[in-house]
Order: sequence, then C-alpha cells, then structure tokens
Amino acid sequence: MKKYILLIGMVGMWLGMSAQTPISVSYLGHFILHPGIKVGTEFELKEWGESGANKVSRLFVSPQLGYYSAGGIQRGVFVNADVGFRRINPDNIRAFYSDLSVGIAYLYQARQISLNVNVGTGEVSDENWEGTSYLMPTVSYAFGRGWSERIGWFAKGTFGGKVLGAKESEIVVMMELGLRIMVGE
Amino acid sequence: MASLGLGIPFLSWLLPGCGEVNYYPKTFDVNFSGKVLIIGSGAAGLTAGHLLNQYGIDFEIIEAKEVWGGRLRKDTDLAEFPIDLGAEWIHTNPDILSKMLNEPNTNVDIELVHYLPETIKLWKNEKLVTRNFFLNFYYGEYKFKRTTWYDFFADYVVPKISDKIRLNSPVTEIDYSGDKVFVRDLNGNAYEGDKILVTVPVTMLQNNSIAFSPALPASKTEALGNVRMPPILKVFMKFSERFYPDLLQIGGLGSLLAEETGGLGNLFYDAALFKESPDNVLSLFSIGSPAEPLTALETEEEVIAAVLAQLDEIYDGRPSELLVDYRIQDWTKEPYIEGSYSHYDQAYTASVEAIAEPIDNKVFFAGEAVALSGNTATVHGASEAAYAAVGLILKS
Repeated sequence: MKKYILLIGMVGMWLGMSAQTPISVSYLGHFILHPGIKVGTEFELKEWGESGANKVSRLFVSPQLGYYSAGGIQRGVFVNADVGFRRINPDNIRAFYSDLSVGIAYLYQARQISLNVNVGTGEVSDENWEGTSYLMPTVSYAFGRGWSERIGWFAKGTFGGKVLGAKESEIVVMMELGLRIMVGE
Repeated sequence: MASLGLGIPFLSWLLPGCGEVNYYPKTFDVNFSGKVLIIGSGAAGLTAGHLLNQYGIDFEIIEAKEVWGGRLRKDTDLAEFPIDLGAEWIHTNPDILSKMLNEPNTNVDIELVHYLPETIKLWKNEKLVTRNFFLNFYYGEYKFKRTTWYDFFADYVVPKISDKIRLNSPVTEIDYSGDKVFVRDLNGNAYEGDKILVTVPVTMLQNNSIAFSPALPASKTEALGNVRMPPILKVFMKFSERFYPDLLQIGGLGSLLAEETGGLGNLFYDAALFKESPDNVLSLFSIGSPAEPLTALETEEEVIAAVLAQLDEIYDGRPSELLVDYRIQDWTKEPYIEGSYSHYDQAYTASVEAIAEPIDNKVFFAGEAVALSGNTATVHGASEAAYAAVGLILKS
C-alpha cells in the first residue's frame, strides 16, 4: 500500500508542482451507499485545438487515493490512475465541462468475517477482518463547472471490474461529488 | 425459522422496522403477584417465562409438542457443526442477544459469523449469472458460528425454567369469562391462572385450534385475516465436494424482492459459510409459492429428488453424484406450526397492534407476528413482543 502512495507522490513531483495544479477533494459513495472520501490531482499530458477556437481538447493523467467504510461490514482503500480526455472552453472558466477517462486501480477491501459477542453485556470483541487485494480497470465519466479560476465543483461516476484477486468477476460502482481547487502560481 | 428468523437472509433491511424505541427495558414496574399461563414454548413463550422467572412470578408454560422451541430446532448429525433447522439468522446487531437475555452477570462470549456472501449467482432463463455485487447491499446479518438459535435458549433460558414447561399438552380451550383464566388441553388436563399469554403461531389462531370463551373480539379476528404464514421448506444437503456459490437464487431480481416470499423464493445458500468446517453443506430455503410444489410432496425421498433435479439441471448432474446425506424440515407439515412466519398483506401496523391488543387485561399475546417494533418474522421480534406483553402483565 505504502509503495503506491509513494509512487503517486513521486509522479506528482516529477510532473512538477510549480504551475497551477488542480487538487480534487470529494465525497465518495461506494455503491452510492457506503460513504468515503477521495483526493486526487491532475497533470496535463497534451492540449490541442485550433487557434482562436473556444474549445480545446486536453489529455490528462489523474492519480487518486480513496477510502470508504460501510460501518462494521466492509472497508476499502484504493489508489488509481486515470488517463482522461476533456473538452474545455479556455475563455470561460464557468462553462460546463465533461471528461471521460479510463484507468487502473489497486483496491484493498476488508470484510468483517466473525466476532464474539458477550451475552451478558452485549460487548463485541475479537473482531476478525479478512482483507483482499484487487486490481481493477475503471471507466469514469465526470462533469463540472468552475466558480472561479481557483475553485469549482464536479461530479463523477466510476465503473470498475475486479479482475485480479476476486474469486469471480465483480463490478464496482462509485459516485463522487467534490471540489476542484487550483493550487500553485 | 420458526418464528423467526427463519430466514430472510437477503435484503432484510428492506423489511419494516424502527430502531429508536427501547423494546428491552432492563426493569419492569411490578404490581402483579398472581400466576401466568403461557401457551407455547417458542422464542416468545420462553422469553416470557425467563422474564417472569427473573421477577419471581409464578408461571407455567403449556406446550403442544413433545419438545420446546417452536420454530427453533437444530440438527447435530448431518455435519460437524450444528444446523438451525428453523430460525437461523440474527437479523440485527449482535448485542440483541444480551438484550433478550437481560442478565448482565452472564459473562459468556458467543462467536458469530458476519453473514456476507461473496459469490452470488442467479439461475435465470436457464443461465447461471453472477451478481456478486449484491454483497454490497447486505446489512446486519449474522449467524451463530458453532451454536444455534436453539442452543441460545437451551443454554441460557431453558435450564432455569424447564420445570415450568409442560410438554405434550395441546391447548384446546381458554376460558377467560371469569376473574380467573382456565385452560384445558387435549389430554383433559386443566390449568388455572390469573393471566394468560398466548404465543402460538398465528395459524393456530386462524384455524381455531383453540376455543376461546368468550370468542376473540371481531377486531382481532379481522386483523388475523390480514396475516399469512406461507409454506416453507428447508433442505440441508451434504456434498462430498463444493460446487456451488455462497448464494444461488432461483429466478431474477424480481423474485428477490417479492413481497409474498419476504424476498426469498427458492434460495440455495452455503450453510457452512465462514464456519470453518470441512463439511460442504448446501441448504435450500424455499418459501411462498415456490415452496408449494415441494411441500405438496408426500415423502422426503420425493422432495430430495425434486431438489436435486433442479440442482442437476444447473450443474450438469453433479449434485446427484456428490450427495452424501440430507435433512429436510418442512415447517408447513409441522403440527402446531403449519407455516413459515408472518406476512402481512395489508394494514401492517394496525393489524399487528390489533392482534397484540390484550383482552380484558387477562389475555395477552406475543410472538413473531405481533412485534410492535416492526421486527415481525424474526426471533428478536418474538422476544420483543414477549417483553412488551410481560411488561403489561407485571404492571397490571
């Protein structure tokens, strides 16, 4: 787990933080119902468009880190990296934008398997959690809008499929609603 | 099952319920000092006896069958772990066990498994489809790991009240026309008490197995008309290999959400899931209209053949080859039970309240069907109903 976090940090440093860099912080809903949080950033890989056009195309990479918890039932933490395509209007920061991205995620999911309950007091002890690691390709669609040059909101939906680690294939659905904040000069 | 808890392992959080009211008071106001007759020794009857015993109130539990437990029953021969033939799941938080028992000084830990099936399949249109993501919609379902619901009562409740339980005594008459309550059973035995708590399954009230004098009020009989106990069958099959997923539902999502079945229908489940057992035990939980063809069969041989035929169709004949042994529990054919657990077709709250309503401050009702908390069809719902009835009796 630590190595993935380190990897994201190194990628961030490599791509440079001197320019304005967007940071996203969002409420995460694993299968909508299980609350969590997700943070991420984004780096431009390429931007193109005709001179004077009010729409330009942008290719970006976005590393993210997320966590969710379904009470005493299951918890998950994941890191993922998306490569996305976005069309934006560089002259109007308040214009809606949308993007489509594909990525790969490492998901560590823990489920409560057993526990002891005291029949006198009701106290729970010796909780036994079982953790499993998964590799998961993802497809995401997001849209949002800027409030200013510094901050905006976005909503994002992600579909993933556990391909490694799972006993059988299993889809994962995550929804996000968050803020996109520009940091740096 | 029995009462309760029989099942409803799937999506039970969709069932009605409310959680803020304390349905398990630790103490009661006691103004009563007479004798209480309890009819039925299922979860509600046993809980009521347990509470009355805690307060030193005289009582007698009159049970129709040769064993106590109602829809609580276990098998210890099929597998190396005990199997709940009746109520099986704990449909709420684990601390419910301590609330039901109300004995803070009983310092014993019970190991539970958190029922979270990982591999989930549907047999739909003659195809096996995977729906493992259903795991993410399971909430608050537990099972005993090395014991059973039956054992819970056998270990912590029955030992203290066993001398008050009269077995093989089917009640046929309840006369509450006078100051006292008089009861007569099928053997001609007579019982006398100051109050009576009726905890029999609603089927016994609906088919007039017990003659009340005076007759039950019209409001109660009308409410009884709103509740059904659909047919139910549980089949436990021990196989030499595990070829099945954690859950296998026959039918699509619609059958999972069907009101008639409480969200079940024909559900196969790994009865050994998380029990760390070397035995492979697959169980069929069949309730409602899907259970009717099975419960209509005459012999257990016919039932297991029909169940295996369905599994063989899905798994290319392997189940019949791998079957080692089996147990069948048909609660529909069970005398003095005759069904699964309560399903209300209409006027849920009003009907529950009407059935639970005491008569003349002498006749009280409890059981899974009258859990005012909304937790009908569960063991803890039956227990809650017993708490409510005992509270009224002691206060009167």
